[in-house]
Amino acid sequence: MTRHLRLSLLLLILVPVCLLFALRTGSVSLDTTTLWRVLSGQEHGLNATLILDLRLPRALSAFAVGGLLALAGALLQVLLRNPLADPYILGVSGGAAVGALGSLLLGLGSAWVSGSAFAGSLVTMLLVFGLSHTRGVWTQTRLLLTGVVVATGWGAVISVLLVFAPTDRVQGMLFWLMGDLSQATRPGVGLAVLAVGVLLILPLGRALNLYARGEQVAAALGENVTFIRRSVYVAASLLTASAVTLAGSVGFVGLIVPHLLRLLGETDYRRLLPNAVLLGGSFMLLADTLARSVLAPMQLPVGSVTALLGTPVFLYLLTRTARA
Amino acid sequence: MSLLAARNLSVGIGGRSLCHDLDVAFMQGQNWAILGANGSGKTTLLHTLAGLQPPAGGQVLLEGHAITAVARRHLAQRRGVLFQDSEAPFASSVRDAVLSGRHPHLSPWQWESAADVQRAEQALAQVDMQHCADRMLTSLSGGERRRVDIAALLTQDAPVCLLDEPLNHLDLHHQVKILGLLRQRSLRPGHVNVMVLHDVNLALRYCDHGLLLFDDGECRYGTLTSLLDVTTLERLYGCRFRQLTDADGSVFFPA
Repeated sequence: MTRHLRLSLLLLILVPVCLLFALRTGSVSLDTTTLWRVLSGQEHGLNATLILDLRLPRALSAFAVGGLLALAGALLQVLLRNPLADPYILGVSGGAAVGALGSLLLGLGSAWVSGSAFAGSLVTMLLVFGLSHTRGVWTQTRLLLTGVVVATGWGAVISVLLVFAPTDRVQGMLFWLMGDLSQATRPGVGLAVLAVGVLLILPLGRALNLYARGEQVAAALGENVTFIRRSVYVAASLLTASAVTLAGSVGFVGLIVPHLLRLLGETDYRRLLPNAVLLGGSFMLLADTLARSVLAPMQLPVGSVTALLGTPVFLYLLTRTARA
Repeated sequence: MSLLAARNLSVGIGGRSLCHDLDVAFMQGQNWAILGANGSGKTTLLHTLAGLQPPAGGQVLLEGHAITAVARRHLAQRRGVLFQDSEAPFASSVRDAVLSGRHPHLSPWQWESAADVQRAEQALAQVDMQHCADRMLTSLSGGERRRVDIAALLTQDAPVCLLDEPLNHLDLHHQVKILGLLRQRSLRPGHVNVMVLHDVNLALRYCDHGLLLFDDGECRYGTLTSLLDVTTLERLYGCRFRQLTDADGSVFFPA
């Protein structure tokens, strides 16, 4: 019990530390005193604009995206009872990408890009759900196959869009595909979805522990598995859609964060889900800060940084556990 | 009143009728063995009796009420199910797996109490797994994992227990031990066990009633000693049987 408490406390401390790092780092480094003066409203001017209009919205967006993806990933792993599941496995991000890239190709503004990304993911969510439910039969394998095939279909459309795109627009499209937070200036909706998602899904925590051991087990112990299945599917899809709308398809976070927590000994979904939000959010904050500062003034897409950072950490933990 | 009963129950799978118009009452203190060849519908019947699957016809009554009308959580407090197989794609500790048996007894926001943990540890001790509480499920052998599943069922503490091949993967010592344990439980007031078994002789030793599912959809039930003889077993399993009898009773084995 103390070990679990220690992990949760550590993650609770990690969030403000990463936030501080994100707000201080950049073309102009700021010390904590200046930061505090700006945040408490004592200082106005250039520093205030820099922090309140640029760094803070971007940092909060990063946290929201990381939290959303980690939570969605953990949920989809239970739903499909497949450790390889990530938020994009059922094609939600593919649908979003087709919407977003289509808008980018037509040269539409960022509101259009976000709007069509969200629409694309919703269409995919309904399509996959509908197709995997025809004639009332439902299995994990069927949902997984439907989702993977729809995702592959979107992948083909994405390739076609990239081929037809004029050269000057290709880079923006690639950034979107790898995940990029430079356009993410309005974190409000993402944070709200994250908060609502956590609050709605937490009461299901203990039931999800059973569900992870099989639908039969959950049903025999008194759970309504149809309800769990549908809520988890809709929640995971909406969380993913919000993340993708905000930052494009950032890879790795949703797959790796839940596993990192499992490797750290957290297997109870009542703790794993909120911890995934904290760890996913912090990890994204760290990755995005590095993405915009390491090669400054050049910016890297945050998705490449999450993978570059996450791979060695994850492999280290994996080999460590294998030896123990 | 019967704890569990089948009323005109028909069970089928894929258009094939497995049993038809079954009327049987499972009374307290009884241990029932469901016997039959592979694919004769033992598991389907057990799941139907557990209320996990709708019957093709008729109904199942739990304590006199249609099982479909019993609230899910209450049902899970009154009847427990041991499945034929268990899966564990994600790491989980043995203690947590056994504690899952307390789920129906806890309100949605409640966490397992010290008393629940103690119950889980007692159940683990009953199946000789007390030294494994902190191990991961994935690190256990098949037989050990089976005993953990049984411990979870004991922790659930439901008066009506439906068990699908509880002896799967168990060594001979634990086969006898687990059946002894289950039999002892059924002697507590208001308890009954219904289990799918493959070992005719263990069934004779630990169960008093039997339900035989024949391949042609015929279904016979009654006291085990009156049901089982060489001719019936030969028809049930489709192979030759021999019977050896001494002062303690009979054993049957395929010839």
